[in-house]
Amino acid sequence: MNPLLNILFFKPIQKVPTETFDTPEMLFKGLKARKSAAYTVLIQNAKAGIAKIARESGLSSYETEDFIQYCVTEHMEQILDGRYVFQGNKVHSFTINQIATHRIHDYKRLLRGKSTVDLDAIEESNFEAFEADHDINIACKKIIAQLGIRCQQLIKLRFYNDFCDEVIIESKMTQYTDEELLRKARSRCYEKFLKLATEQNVFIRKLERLKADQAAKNNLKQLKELQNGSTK
Amino acid sequence: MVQQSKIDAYLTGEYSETEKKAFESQLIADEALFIMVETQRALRRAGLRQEVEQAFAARPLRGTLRIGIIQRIAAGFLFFGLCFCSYNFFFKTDSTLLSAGNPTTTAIVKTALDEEDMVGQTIQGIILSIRNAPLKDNLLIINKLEKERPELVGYFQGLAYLNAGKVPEAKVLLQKIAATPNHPKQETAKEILKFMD
Repeated sequence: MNPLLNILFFKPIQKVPTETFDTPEMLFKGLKARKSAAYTVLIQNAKAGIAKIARESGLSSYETEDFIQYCVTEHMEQILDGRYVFQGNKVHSFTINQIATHRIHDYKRLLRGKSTVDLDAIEESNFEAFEADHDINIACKKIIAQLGIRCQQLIKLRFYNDFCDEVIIESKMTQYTDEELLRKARSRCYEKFLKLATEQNVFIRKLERLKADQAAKNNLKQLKELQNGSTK
Repeated sequence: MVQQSKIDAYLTGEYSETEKKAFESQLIADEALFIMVETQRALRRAGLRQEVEQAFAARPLRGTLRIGIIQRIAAGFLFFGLCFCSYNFFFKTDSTLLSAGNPTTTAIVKTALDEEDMVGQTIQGIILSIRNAPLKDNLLIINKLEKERPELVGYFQGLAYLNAGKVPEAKVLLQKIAATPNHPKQETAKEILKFMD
């Protein structure tokens, strides 16, 4: 086509997600690669189901929207750290049936306080862990806001967006042109970040709870061993 | 450095169940390592949340076309053009509409209707209807004339049949009118019948 016509009639090409994910496997791969188009598809597929659960629990429209985002984020986290194992089923079914269904009570409890909780739901939930993660999220946001812009950028590129150093250098995302220099600068920033994080109680609280859980498990194990020994 | 690669392996699910358990026991024993893992997990969660929020705000773009402002204006013109044509097609008299029936009968009906254009509003409505609407609707409308101008009912029914290409039915009705003395449409009916023969 004539370039003039091109300018007149067509917008410059924009980076828009146009990929289709026709099979659950394709969608899973897209999510694993953190493709925004895959997120959009997962949200579209899971939105109605999660919203129904949220509405039934009495969440407002704003809270419902936030809960949908929370569920998709949680699912993404499980995909990335390998807790979610793809077995050929529709990906959004897991977001709705496993995450939204099991987390709605914890989410509601976090928002409204302990008094509104359905007593039947307490057994199923692990509110302490949910609350601890929530507190850690808030603490990390506060800590990162205390760092300078350059440090924020270096930490976010590595830990938020999961970009490897090679890509950061090639795409000129920072002022650094050498991987070694970039690594050193980030290391200094991360040390500052960790120093501030160590001052927060939230991490210690979670660690103590994990230690207590571990001790309880060990006790149970020992008890079972003793019982087995006595029956023999 | 080694520790960071271990954290990466743990957070990206590269460890086997046994390795994972071993690393988790190490985590509980080492406070500094625990804080590193938890902060990195939280940072990644924040990054994911940001990406999800962006995707949530975006409209589903699968299968849609992004068009420029000039294309939108052109599409607007096209839309109004289509509306204008549709209006003309459905509400205005157009000779092409009459070509649905036999060309000769169509021409006869057109001439007869043109003559009627000077008559009152009700008949004007019927003329418009005969030209544009299907036969079934026309007959219903024409029947409404029964009270005011009963003598014209048969004549317009004949025209409606003729317009729909049903010549025998039209012929019977027009012959009846042609045979009625002092009928206001006796002469016109005779003329139409001449053409039909």
